[in-house]
Amino acid sequence: MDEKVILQHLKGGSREALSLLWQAHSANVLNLAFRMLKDRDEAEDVLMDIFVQIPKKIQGFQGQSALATWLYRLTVNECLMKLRAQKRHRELEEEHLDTIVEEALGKNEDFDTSGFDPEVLEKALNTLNAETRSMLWLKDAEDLDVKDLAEIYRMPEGTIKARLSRARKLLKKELNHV
Amino acid sequence: MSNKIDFSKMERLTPRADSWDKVCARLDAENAKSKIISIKSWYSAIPLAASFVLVSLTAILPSFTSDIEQENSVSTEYVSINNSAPAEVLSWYESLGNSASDEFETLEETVGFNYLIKE
Repeated sequence: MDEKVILQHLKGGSREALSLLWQAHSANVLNLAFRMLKDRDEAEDVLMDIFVQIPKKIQGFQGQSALATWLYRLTVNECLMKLRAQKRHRELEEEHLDTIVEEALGKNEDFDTSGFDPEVLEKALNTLNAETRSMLWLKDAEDLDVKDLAEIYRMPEGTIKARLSRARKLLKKELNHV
Repeated sequence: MSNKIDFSKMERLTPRADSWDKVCARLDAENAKSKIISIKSWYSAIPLAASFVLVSLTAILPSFTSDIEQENSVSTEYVSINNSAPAEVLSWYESLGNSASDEFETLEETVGFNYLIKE
């Protein structure tokens, strides 16, 4: 079914449209939440919370972005709220990233992560803060582009690129230690 | 892109089998709850409206009662018997209490009866 039609039905309170949305995006939402929270049960809770909220929140959705992008934004916000509530979000905020010149990014960043054990990669990923981790996941695992990420995180594209670059550098450093 | 992180080997989760059912159950519960809340708010509106009506009545009622009193005073206006009763009734009325008999029998029955009906 066309996304606009689904959106229309969702706004009308259709359970069937919500079911279609669940089939199409629930796994993506769950994996994003899991990457941020590092806990399967909590990720499931977030997934369910989000789908329970959709009938109300969809009324304010104008359809300017894709439904998936909107769902990812809800997921990121929900996870950040959960992390703040649990006072587990103690990772340091990255500073002065906005000032990083875009041209400086991408240089000497080439490294191959395909040879690493998933567990090692998981551990290295967990050294990043939840938001950056989720950003990297959406970019590299879910293949979202920087424009979508800027929409999800409500940040300028340059900031997103800077954070991704920094995250990759940190990840490389961690993996080299192994 | 060469600097892309390869997440392909990492575990990809799928939602638990009962998660969708739980979502549906929670949505149903929320719908039921919102109905109860609307009924509750309706029921709380009733006493509010009733008290408003009561206060309004308390404010308006005195003006109504004064109107009624005015009407009553008009309806109980004194009418002299001299203007409405025949001479025979008047003489009987005036002689009342002057003797041991009330002399009611001296009054022609139909005249007295008509007077009473008129009254």
